[in-house]
Amino acid sequence: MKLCVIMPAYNEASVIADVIRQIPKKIMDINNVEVIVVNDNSTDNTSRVAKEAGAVVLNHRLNLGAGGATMTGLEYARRNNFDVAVTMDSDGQHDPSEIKKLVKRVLSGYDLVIGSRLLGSQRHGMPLIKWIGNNAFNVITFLFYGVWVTDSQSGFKAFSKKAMEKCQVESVGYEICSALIGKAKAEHLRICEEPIKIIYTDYSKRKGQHYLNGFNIVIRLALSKIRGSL
Amino acid sequence: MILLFAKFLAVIVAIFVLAKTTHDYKKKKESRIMFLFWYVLWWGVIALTLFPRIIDTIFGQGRSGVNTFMGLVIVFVLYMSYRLYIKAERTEKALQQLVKELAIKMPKE
Repeated sequence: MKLCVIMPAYNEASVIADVIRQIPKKIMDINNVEVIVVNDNSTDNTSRVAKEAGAVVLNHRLNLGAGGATMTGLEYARRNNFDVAVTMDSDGQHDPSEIKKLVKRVLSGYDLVIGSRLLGSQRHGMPLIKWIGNNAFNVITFLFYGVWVTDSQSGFKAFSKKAMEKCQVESVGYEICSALIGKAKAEHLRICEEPIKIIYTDYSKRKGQHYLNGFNIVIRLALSKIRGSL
Repeated sequence: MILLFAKFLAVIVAIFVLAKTTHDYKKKKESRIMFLFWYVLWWGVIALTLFPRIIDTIFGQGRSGVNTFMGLVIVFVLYMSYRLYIKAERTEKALQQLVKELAIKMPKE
């Protein structure tokens, strides 16, 4: 079985090599692990650094956003016949060793596994404002798509082959997180959550999206819902 | 005085757009239909600016005539916004597709 680890990246040259090197190369029932970095038109050396660290780099000629980069990675995985795909952030806030847990759940029969930073009642070190924002988006995702998850905005997800084929959405920004969950529900895929830890560094906090971007996400979700494109 | 300045400005803008659309049509950057559409529209703007009584003639005397006219203008502006939104969205999607295809087909570059 082939696993594809997809990392959307924008100006992550200073940290991406470490993240790539930490990705486990041996995972039970997986023969081949390929790391795909989708360089979203970075202005630094992200592309070169990622390539030197051993990743296949897909270069966007224009900056599309995190969602667009994720969809490029999933499209690559589909076309190259990967059995499982995992998406994760390239800023180091996800622990690469936890890929195994997500893959295991996919191999046990789930189609979409969401790595949840908030499974359980604790904040796990998440800043209060982010915690409130995430919960607000959980409610919005539920209202729009009828799926309740504890961390709808998590970028750490695993997809089965079926999910890769069915979850094709047109979102390009951060709204992709909710849109993918909605699409999975609409396609009657099996969804589950797996607890993950989150590594907050000064760097990852700086790189995080601005709170006001939340309004953009809601507007984009509403527009895609109106258009029926998810 | 302000009204005169507004009229002057409207006519200048209309003339500029007319010159631009004529130039684009001659350079074959614009279709004949679009050229005619903009041509008639902006000559209409000039006519209404210089002879506002046309509004009274078409839509009736007094305030209700002006209101009807303004209502139609708002509908037209909304329609144009809708058209622009659709066009921008289609262009954005095509561009995204192109960026994605280039990235996947040329991963080594």
